[in-house]
Amino acid sequence: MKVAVTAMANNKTVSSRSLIIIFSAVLVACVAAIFIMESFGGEGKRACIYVEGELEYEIELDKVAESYTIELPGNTVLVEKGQISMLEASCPDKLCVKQGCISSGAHSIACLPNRVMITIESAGNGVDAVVG
Amino acid sequence: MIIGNKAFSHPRLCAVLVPLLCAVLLCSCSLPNKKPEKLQFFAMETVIEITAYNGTGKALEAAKEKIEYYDALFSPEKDGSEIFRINSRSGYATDVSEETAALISTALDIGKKSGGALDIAVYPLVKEWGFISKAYSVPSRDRVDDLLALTGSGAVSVSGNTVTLRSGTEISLGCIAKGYAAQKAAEALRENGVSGAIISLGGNIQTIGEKPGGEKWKIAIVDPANPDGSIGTVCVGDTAVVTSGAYQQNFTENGVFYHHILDPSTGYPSDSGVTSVTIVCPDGAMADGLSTACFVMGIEKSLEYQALYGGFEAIFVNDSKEVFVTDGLADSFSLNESGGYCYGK
Repeated sequence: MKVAVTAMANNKTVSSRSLIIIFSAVLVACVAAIFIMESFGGEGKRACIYVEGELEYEIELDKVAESYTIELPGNTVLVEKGQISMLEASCPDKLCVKQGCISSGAHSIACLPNRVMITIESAGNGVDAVVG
Repeated sequence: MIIGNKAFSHPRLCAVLVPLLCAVLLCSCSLPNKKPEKLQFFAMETVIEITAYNGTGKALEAAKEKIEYYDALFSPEKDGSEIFRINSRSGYATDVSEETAALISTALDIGKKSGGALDIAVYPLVKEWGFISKAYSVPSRDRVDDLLALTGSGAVSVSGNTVTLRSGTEISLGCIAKGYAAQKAAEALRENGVSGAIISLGGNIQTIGEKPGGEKWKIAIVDPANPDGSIGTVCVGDTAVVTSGAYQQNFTENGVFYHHILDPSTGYPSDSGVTSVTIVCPDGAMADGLSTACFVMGIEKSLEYQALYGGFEAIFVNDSKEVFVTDGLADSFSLNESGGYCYGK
């Protein structure tokens, strides 16, 4: 740093061209950073498990190498590569278990009695909400 | 320090480059937020999610309070609600709030115009089938006939803020209350400065304004045959989008499939040939009520209703996996052909 400063000090003037290059470099870096953040931010299929409206787990489903279960008070969630399901539930109707696996953001799994909700947020599908 | 001195020697250049750099940085800050404000909670027997793009926690809480208020006001199962009070005074006149009386009138109006396809007095039948307790069972024909006598025109009357039920009749606003609550929650968000948000309330969607950048909202419609998939998407502006489907609540007894949307003329699950109906309408309560009414009416009668009264657009799915879209949505609906669906003729 000291060397660079000295070197610059030795130049009597910094040309307009140098100044343009410095600003251009910063400008290009900023634009590139924004582009990268917009293009690649949050890519993949992410399952979110909410209990009582609070986000308790976030799982990148495409990165699941081996299936595993998550124990919640009253529910057991099965996490597999690319999909997620409710394996067991203490509620009487077990609608959430009967629903089976979800693998896209098209539908969510809800266990109303136990206040558990599983959603999938997929980057890039462009869908803002699902009705049904 | 030295660079600063040199820069000062190029004031014109700096006058162009520095603001340019600032502009780029400012633009990057104002780009659509990747993580909008979200609030999720349970009310009205379903999961509710509010997503606001320029919202504050206070705005979301105000919307949540609205939904909880209407849940407490309209739920027939909650002791202290106005509907509970009306039902407990069946056979007598009951004074209620202006809002409750108005919403009952809206439901009665849709019922009248649809030839009885929507009837808030089928509530005792819905209970008998077990769709409230979740202890599903097919009632006897005699029991269905007894309960059918408590429904139909004249079972419910509204005069000013006074509601009177025929003796033995009970009502539920379950077919319209979610849409109304979503609409009111949207108003609360707007009052708190939110200009871009989406409320998901079970099968009800209410949008507010536009997405950041002025884009329309893209709503996927659940595939009734495979609730993990969709039949397609519809792009909408500021409106309500509500779906009624046979897949939402059902059971099978002795190999026969029974769903929760009862035909008020028979007391049995509607058999109009549609498996889902999606209504797009600026009024949330109307959208909600019409989705049930159109499900019961079927495609032909629904189109007649639309031609006569207008005010909404619809997407129908029939049991042959055919999709019918009303003219107003022809350009904004996009079919997902990979789901095995095609346009009907």
